[in-house]
Amino acid sequence: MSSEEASMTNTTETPAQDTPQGAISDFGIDTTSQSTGEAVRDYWARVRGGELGSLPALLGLVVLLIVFSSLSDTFFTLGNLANLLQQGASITIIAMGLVFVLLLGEIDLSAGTASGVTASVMALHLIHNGNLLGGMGDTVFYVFCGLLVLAIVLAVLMKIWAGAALSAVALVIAAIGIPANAWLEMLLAVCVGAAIGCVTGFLVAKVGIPSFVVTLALFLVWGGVVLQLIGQGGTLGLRDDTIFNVANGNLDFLGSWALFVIAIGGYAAVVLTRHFSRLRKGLVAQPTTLVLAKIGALAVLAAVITYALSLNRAQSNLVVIQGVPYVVPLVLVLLVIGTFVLDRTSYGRHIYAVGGNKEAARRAGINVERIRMSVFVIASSAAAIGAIVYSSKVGSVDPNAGGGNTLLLSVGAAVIGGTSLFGGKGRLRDAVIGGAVLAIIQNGMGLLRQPAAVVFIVTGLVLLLAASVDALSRRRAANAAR
Amino acid sequence: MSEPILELRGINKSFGPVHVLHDIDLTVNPGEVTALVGDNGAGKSTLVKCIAGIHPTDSGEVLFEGQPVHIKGPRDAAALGIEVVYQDLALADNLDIVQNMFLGRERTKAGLLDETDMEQAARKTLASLSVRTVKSVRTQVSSLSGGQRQTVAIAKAVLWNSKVVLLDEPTAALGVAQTRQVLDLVRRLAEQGLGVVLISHNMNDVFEVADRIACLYLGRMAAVVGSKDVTHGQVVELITAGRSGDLGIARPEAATI
Amino acid sequence: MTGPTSGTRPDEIRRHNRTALLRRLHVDGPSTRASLAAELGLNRSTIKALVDGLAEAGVVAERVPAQRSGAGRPSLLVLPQPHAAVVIAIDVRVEQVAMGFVGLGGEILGRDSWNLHHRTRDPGEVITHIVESARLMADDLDVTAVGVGVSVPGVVRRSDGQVHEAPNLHWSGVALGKRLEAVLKLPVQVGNDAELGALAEHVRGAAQSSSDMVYISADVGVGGGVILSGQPLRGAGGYVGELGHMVVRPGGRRCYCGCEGCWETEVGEPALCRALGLPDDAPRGAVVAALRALDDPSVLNEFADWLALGLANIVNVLGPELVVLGDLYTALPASLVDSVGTVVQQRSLVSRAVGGTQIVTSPLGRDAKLIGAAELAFEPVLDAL
Repeated sequence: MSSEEASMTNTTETPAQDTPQGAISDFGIDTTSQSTGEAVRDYWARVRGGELGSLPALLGLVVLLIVFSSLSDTFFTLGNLANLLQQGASITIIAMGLVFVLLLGEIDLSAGTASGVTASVMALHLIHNGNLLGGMGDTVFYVFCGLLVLAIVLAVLMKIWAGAALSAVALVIAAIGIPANAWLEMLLAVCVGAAIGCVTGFLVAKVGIPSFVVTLALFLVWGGVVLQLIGQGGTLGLRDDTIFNVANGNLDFLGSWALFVIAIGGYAAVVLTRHFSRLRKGLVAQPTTLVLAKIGALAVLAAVITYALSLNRAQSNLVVIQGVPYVVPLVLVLLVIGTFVLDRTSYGRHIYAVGGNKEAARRAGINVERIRMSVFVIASSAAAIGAIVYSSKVGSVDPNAGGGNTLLLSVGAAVIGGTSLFGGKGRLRDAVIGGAVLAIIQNGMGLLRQPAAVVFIVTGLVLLLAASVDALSRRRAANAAR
Repeated sequence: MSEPILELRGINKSFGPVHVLHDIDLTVNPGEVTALVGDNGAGKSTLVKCIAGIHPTDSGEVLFEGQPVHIKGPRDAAALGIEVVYQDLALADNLDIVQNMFLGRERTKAGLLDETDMEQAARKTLASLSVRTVKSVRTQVSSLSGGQRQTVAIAKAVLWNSKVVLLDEPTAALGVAQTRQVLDLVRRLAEQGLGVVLISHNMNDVFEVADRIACLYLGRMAAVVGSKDVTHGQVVELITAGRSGDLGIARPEAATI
Repeated sequence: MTGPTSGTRPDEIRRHNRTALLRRLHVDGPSTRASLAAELGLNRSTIKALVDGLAEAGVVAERVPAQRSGAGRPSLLVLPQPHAAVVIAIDVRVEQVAMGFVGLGGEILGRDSWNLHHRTRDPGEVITHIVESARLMADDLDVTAVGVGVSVPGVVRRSDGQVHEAPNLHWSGVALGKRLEAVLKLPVQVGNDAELGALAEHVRGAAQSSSDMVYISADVGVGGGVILSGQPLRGAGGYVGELGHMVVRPGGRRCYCGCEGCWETEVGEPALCRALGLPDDAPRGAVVAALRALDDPSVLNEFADWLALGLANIVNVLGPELVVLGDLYTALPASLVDSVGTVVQQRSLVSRAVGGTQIVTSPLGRDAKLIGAAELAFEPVLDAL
């Protein structure tokens, strides 16, 4: 604070620093607001300069929607719409966590199988009514607890208090053996995820092994752990209504519209408060009409979706299925919290800085190692939430949980949405948009009864396309700077 | 009255068996531009990194405003009021000007970034330097020219009300015209009373902007001279041979790394 | 600036209005059409026609103002476009040369400066360096300058830019204007530094609303510029402004001008250095730093006395409503400036008569003369644009 005061007095003391016309002339454009036409031209110039953001993914989304709804009769039905959201949710959530890692230019290949571990632990705790010792067997249980202790120690060492606290909670839950309770199981999963992230992050940030190698190794390790926990060929069923509802339940009619009001109202409040505060302080801002138009468009879109989802979409007349699926508010809440952290806190700012230029960040006094470790904790925790969702969707955990394509699709979602693999560029909403693109491809191709081979090939090509767009736009941006 | 703002006494630094800095003494006075010159490997950058707290010193004393201080990292240096501007690697390309100027020292309100406050402060600072850097302070650094980047890096010193600015070859990657602009900015910082240390190996630049010239030769301080009192030739001799007439080290041939 | 007389042709009136509007924008910066109309006494349709014409020529641009007051459609803000007319401003100081490319509206687009040592202070060296820098900067900024203004600390003939004598630079009889014109191939105006400082203060600094003002600046020497009834005061041939060579202390220190006890020897930079315990040739920044770190302001008492004495004389002779202290004086502690102001009011008959002459420090600081040189260069340019 004192340095701020000092700088204020300094500027008043030395008149040379305070040329009255300077403020106007030097940043003349900053002091006038943009007209709508200018704002649009500005945006277009940025796009041409290589700052594409999530534009390609949004365009892709529109194209896919048109293609599939024209090719398939069932694609644009209410039932499929809800199904789509529930299918895409887990990938999207894991992708959101991965965005943090990708922002640093790192990769977490182990997020998929790590999510499998958390799902297995959750399932074991539920099935064995809190008796993990019994569920895992002595040796495995002690190794498990040992790893949790290790995670706590590593987190404390690096002063990542949230990671340490979550790992400690996991240890407590595991050790005490509280009887099964769906909420407790889900908390346990997230905490185990955080502990896994502490270990991964430490190996990358402090030991200095490239994240590709660390997470490749751990990908195999966790895959093996899942196998060990579940047993070859076994399946752990999740017979619990609460857990089942996470991915399959819906908000009731009132709840759906309440969600709409809260989400759009909150968005409008945040955007408008910021907008008018900038105008009031004479800072450059987008034209008010444009801001209002954006909010309006989003509100209309959200209202249409909410309305559609609050209609009965059951195939038979015997049951009523209506309301916004629970995964929607879940993804929204994670999106809001994550975006908030990235955009409005110093921590988020430091993540971008480390991703953009590690050395500059270090010289600015940022604890680069701590930032690098922390993103792995976030990624693994998010992966655990994703695991809860996909386990809930299928109602069981099998040895393949989190294996297969889970990780690759999640990375793909983040990249398709516009997150750069080179670090420093990307937003959380990219993961949501990318997740939607992938979910639509999978779902649409399925409805068209395409063989798995084609689905894989198309998905892969879309990912390749997204990565090329990223690389080309980077080159373009680099050239624009010359 | 004119007590040095920063004073180094007997600084030694080795990297393993290589003794890079030998008993370096240097004073930095407020309002003066002190140029630090020397051949490649003479220890210029190492010396600056020692002051900035990036390298720990083996022995010697650093006094800031007459008080002994221990600078253990960039944060300590910044807290004292020492700003360091590097040749490159100083800014994060993916952030905008405001974000870079406040990097690591963000202003927050109730735990959240106070963007408008930071933006206003950054604009005021840049306007006060009357350098027309860019159209908007929200421009991403990746789209700035080399000279504009250095301007932003140097403007941090004014923003943070620093007392000493160390510039490690700030113009090495710049064209002639942009170099001139940056040097002009450096001079104006000094005229506002800041102590400036400028590393450069361009003799013209040094003579155009510096008040004093400190010549390093093989890790030793060969001489510190007033730029009015010497010629280009003498400085070049000090740099290459460690000695020029009466100036310099007594027996440069005995000096080893 | 004479008003249109009856019988002038419409396009002459238009030309006159256009120049008046440009001057207004150049001096006041961005203004709304409404305020332009009000201040120039023209109706809105005339303003619209003029602004549209200028906008088409790329001299101005129009934008939506950021802060809106009241309801309804906001009046558009008219911004001068810096690149539409760029001049080169050069401030030759004793220890250094500062140079800037200044755009329409007074924005400094780029700058350069370099130290002067014994050898490089030679006029030929200075001119060579200026030309070299001008080419480099014009290329870098991608602009073409249309005029040049030079400020010199010495006695200058305005008509052709002949520097009669600039003692601190050891220049005499230098045809600076002609020589620069020959190599830069641009119209060059040369002025005395203090006079240009006064101009800058009058146009962009502390004296925007004062028509009778004196600007006093201290670099190595002390000079003064005078504006009376809105017009600069110039002696025969334009030689005026050596206020620093008023003799205030007969038998005092010897001055290079041949006299003893000139005001400059008591209130110039060397005198300030002596009071602060610095060597005579301490760099500017060191003096500024010492003034800022001053624990005991009483060391400056004698300096303040001499400053007040000279200022009281000046106020008595010229009767300004405002005295602006520029350059090094802007670093003086505010309390010292206030007390000097009070003393001058007490001592000066004229000050009391005009209701108390204000004494303030310059908001333009070190750049005043550079800005003044730019304004000097802009004068013919604005008419022709």
